[in-house]
Amino acid sequence: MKRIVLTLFLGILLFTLQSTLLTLSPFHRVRPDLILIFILFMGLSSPLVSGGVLSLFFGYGMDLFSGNMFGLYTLTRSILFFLAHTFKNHLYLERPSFQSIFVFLFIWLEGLLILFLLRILNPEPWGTLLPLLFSRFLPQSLSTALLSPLLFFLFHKGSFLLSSESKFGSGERG
Amino acid sequence: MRMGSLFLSRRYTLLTIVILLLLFALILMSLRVKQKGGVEGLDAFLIELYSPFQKGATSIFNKVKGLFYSYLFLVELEKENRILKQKIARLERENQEMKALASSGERLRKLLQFRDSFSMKMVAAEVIGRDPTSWFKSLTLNKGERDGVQRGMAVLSPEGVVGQILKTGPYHSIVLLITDYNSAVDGMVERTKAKALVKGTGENRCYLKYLLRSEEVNVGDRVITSGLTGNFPKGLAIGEITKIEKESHGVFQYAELIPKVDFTKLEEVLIVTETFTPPPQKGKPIKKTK
Repeated sequence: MKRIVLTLFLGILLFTLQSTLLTLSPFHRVRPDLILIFILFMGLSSPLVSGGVLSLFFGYGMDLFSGNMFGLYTLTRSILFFLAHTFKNHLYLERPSFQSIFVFLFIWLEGLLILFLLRILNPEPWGTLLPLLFSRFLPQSLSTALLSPLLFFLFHKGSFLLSSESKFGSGERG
Repeated sequence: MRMGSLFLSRRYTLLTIVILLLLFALILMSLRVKQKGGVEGLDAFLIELYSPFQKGATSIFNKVKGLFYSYLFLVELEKENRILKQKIARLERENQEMKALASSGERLRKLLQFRDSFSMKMVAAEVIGRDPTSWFKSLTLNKGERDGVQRGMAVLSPEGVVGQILKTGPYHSIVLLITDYNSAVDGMVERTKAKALVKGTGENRCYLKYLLRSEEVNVGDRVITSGLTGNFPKGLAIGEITKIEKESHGVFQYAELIPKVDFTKLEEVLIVTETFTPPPQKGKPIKKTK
């Protein structure tokens, strides 16, 4: 329970950073998606049910604050979580470069999924949507991928500390 | 055998939960598409859950930014000048604070002047957060339903139109910017009175949709609100035309415009809390509703 509450709190903090501090950067296009990295890390380390519910919750928050009227992130973030969870035993993610590639591939998967859903839900000419893919989405995906090894390392440390603390606590109780 | 069936049942339970969660996401999505609004109660609750964090973080970052600018060039000073430089630092900080105050005062004065130039009721709000994604364009404001803010209300700045309220919580609200891909505002070219729909591109630009090919528009023409929808009063600046593409065939022409408002530097906005009915037919009076 403690772990879920801390994960929730950390997710909200990352969301706050993403929608406040990172928007102050002079390079608006280069704004890493911290929540996505966090959801992918949860996919690799969290239990299926609690992680799934939390990724759905974070996706809902993204939808709410981005002004997106369709609820796309609620769906895509849950899918990303389940995919990462499903393939976690088949992925080699020990090296930072592999972590970056993993995040880059997943963020592009989500981008294409969003583009596809937008095209279905609100038919607009590709001319409006496609430029965004390269002018906005590509810089964001690159910056997210580059930052992911550092965040994975920090999340891993935090998760390790939390689990060792709970083990120590249970030992005391026992 | 028993272990095997236990494993299978656990596997199926997990699969059921995954399917249920994805189904839930799809139901939410279809609800939003149907209502174009979402699940109001849940939305309001989540806005109020996230916004205090955004508000706190914005206030901390603004303070840190002020201090950072004051001390940035004073870190590696020589020891013998410490006292003198501390004095300079203090004076610089004071100067910076004075400048920030003056700049804030100037912005608020402009905002007040702008508000006074209109007879309609407005509420001033502070920007406490921005869109967290690269696909959509929005702002979070520190005013909500308790301040009379409702969905669809126009949001302005002294420079021009900012957007409209998309979602509201009791104390906070979310604005859909005019540059968002989903945004559409009724506009007209000020010089020729040619009417068109101002749509966002998702970048920091807009374009004119349904602008008749027969209309003569030039680069540099100002585009203003037409007042045809209930949300935006007539005559507010939207932007300036920067590009025109006219094909040799077709009914419409394409015109791109740059908004008057610099959304990256926006700190305070005004929300029009009155809605206006479209211009009346001849002989009928203008109806103003709160």
